[in-house]
Amino acid sequence: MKKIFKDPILLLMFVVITVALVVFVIYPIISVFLFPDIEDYVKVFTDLRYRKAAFNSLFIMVLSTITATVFGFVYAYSIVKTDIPFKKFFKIVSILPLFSPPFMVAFSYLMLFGKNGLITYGLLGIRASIMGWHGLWLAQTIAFFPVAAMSIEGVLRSISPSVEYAGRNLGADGFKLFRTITLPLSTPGVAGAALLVSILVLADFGNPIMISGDFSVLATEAWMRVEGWGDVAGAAVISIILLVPSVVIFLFQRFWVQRRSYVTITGKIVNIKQKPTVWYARVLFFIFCMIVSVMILLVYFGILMGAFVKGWGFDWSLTMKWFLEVLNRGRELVNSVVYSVTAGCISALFAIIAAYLVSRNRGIITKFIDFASILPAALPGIFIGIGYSVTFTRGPADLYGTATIVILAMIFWNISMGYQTGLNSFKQISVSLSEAASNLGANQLKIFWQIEAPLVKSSFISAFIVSFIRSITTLSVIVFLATSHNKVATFTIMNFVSDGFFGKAAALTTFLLCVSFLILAIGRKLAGKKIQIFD
Amino acid sequence: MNHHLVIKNLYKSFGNTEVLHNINLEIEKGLFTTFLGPSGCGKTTLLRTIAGFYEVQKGEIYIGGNLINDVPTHLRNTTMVFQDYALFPHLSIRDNICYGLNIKNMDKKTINSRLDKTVSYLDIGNLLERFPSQLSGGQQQRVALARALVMEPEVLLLDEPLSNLDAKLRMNIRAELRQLQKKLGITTIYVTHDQGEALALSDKIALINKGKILQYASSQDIYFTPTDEFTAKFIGTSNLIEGEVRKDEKLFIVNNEEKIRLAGSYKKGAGKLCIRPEMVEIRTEDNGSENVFRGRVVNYIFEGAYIRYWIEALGSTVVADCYDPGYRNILDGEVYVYLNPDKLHILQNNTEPGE
Repeated sequence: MKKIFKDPILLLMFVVITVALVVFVIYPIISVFLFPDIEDYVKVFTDLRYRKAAFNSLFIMVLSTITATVFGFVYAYSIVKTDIPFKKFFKIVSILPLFSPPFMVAFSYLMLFGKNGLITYGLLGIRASIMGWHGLWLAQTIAFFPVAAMSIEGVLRSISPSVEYAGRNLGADGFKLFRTITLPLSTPGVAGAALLVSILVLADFGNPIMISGDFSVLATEAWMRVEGWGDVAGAAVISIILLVPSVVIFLFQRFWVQRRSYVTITGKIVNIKQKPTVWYARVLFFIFCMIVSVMILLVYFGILMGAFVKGWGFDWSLTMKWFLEVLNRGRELVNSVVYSVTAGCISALFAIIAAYLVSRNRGIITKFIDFASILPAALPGIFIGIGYSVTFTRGPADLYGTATIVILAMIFWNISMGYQTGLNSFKQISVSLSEAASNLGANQLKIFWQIEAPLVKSSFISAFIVSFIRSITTLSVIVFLATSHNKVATFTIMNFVSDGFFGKAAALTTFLLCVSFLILAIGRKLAGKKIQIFD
Repeated sequence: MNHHLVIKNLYKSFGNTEVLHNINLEIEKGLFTTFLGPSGCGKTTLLRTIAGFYEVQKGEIYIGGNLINDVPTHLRNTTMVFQDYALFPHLSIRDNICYGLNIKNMDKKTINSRLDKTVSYLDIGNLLERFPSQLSGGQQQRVALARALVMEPEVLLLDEPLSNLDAKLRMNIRAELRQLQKKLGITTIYVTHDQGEALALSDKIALINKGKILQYASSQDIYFTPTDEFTAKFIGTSNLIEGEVRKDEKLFIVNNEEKIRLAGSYKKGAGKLCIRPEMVEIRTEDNGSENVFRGRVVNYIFEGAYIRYWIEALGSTVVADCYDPGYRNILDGEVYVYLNPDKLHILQNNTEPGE
């Protein structure tokens, strides 16, 4: 600590980071807890609506988590451990949803399988609707299984084929081998993935608001309270009900499951070819991956169709009018891009500096920075939204309806991912590099800019991309902060969908997707080499 | 003598563990000094304290007469060659070497002339446009040395720089490093746990164990007249035979019976006789002269340049190296051991700080 006071720049970095985390992460959390009165808390136990929403949330969380994890496991297993064709295609398809607005799946399925659905009504002539809990279940499974697949894929890859050969050598094969070796080895990783998915499902706002109809969950109930009755205190209570399990699951995942992971056992990576899979297993795995991929691609197909079709459900002729109409209302789209780019840059910079401080120093303040930088990963989007709306719309810092409040919320909601990435890359940079620079005459600032920053450039870019994409696609964070002045595209899309303007909503979503993928492409180009995103 | 680097009463602890205990050193300008000791002895800590990576908790460090305790690392000009070289992976070799000069905002001409000079010393002119990942271990080592030398440091610090190289390369660079240091006359401190390296390179060696300097002397003094058992055992191989100096100060008694004649005088009392294996002479017959003792060969290994014998004599096992053995038969059974009085040395430290 003494060293810090000798280096004013280091001291300044510490002060700025710490103060910002206190004001924009810790303080809003406390505010949310303090905002409701005792009666508001008591109401939770007496009001039937709360109980119903809480039960529904729990119900759908269990269902969607199980299916998303199972889908994720089978999908990842197919890609890593079998020799089915088109692996690369399956892999890319499964990544797509990570770069898309989370509510998109529900929206598209509503168009495809809803009352006027292209598939249900248009092709099959059934007047059935997917609207309701089963629709939500399907949408969340497809929306969140990629997260499970990605995390499980990492786990499965870390299981060396030589371990499985050893199992074969000792007499196990096929399903027996899977049951006795592969599955137990990956269990902690799969449990971790399931917990991660459960947090996402619990906090999901976009899918239920679009597809669940009368089946209310906590996230949508909070929104109804504010929108319908102006009951901000009630919404705050709900967001707390959401927060507590999220944080508990998150901490459990982080400190218990990760510790039990077998992944950390490192050894020489042996490049042994997988043993060929038996033909019927190959066929089954292939069919499964194909069906899941089709379900994902259908999402994009539905959005594109919706954007070009004149009258969904009755007039299937093509038109450009939705795009033109959306362009006339381009302000929301511009807002989205400007806010997200700003938030992405600041968030990534902030996260990298925080990671730098934590990886290179010790002490109580460092511990706090570490904790407060990771914490937002456990915060549901609507909690951040409500937190900022009750904290920064009163008193001296009244940011009501400004761009600043939206950008700030986006920045601090997203620092965790960038922080983790940064921490990993600083850990890989040997301390002796900065010592060597210091030894040759560089001060802290020069060490940071000349030695460490260039080495973490790709982490910075990936942190930017992740936080940009999460910002531009989020609905839950901005829904409580949006006014007519600082509206963003996702908010408008939600309103279009609820008013039945599918064409406009689809056109605007298409624009959003284009911007997301454009930024992703630019980022990859800038990084110069392959970068890890959403890892 | 011109004492360039002076360390006075230096202490250092990490938490409750004391790693450096009352270190006092006076290092002459232009000399090659080695901190030698087993791993964890504190030698690297001492080096890093001189570099300024660790704070001085208690004690003083002077360079050229100036107290540098509170001078931050980046203003010390005590450049260091790191064990893992710590080359900046994103900079070319040229930019790596010139990094420190650029930081000082030197003009292009000076930078280039210094670069050219250093590069020619180390013969790495053809590597300048490459990146660290494209170099072999030996080349990286040279670049790391160049990056430190180009600064024309007050004190050059080397932290086990050869430990990552293979044995053959290590031998070559050893000789080269010694020659270069003599040519440039830079005060150099070298840290190693390899006693062979220390003897070969150093003008002086500071032998460190458990945070204390046991002996600080020239390579030869350390080798031939170690002051304590730890030093004797750590450097090379030593025969240590327990015994006693009695009334006659030039006589060492082993097992109350065998008398060993000494060349120098020692004070009365218990001690350990110390002699290096190559100084033990093996004879096939007893010609009745002093300091010849009967023994029996119990084991041997053929090393090429010499044969090492283990001989039971004087109540213990004496190791003796027989150089230039030629094709003569390997000795077996009963032999005689001759201990030349001029080559004997008695350790009389009753306290053994090394143990």
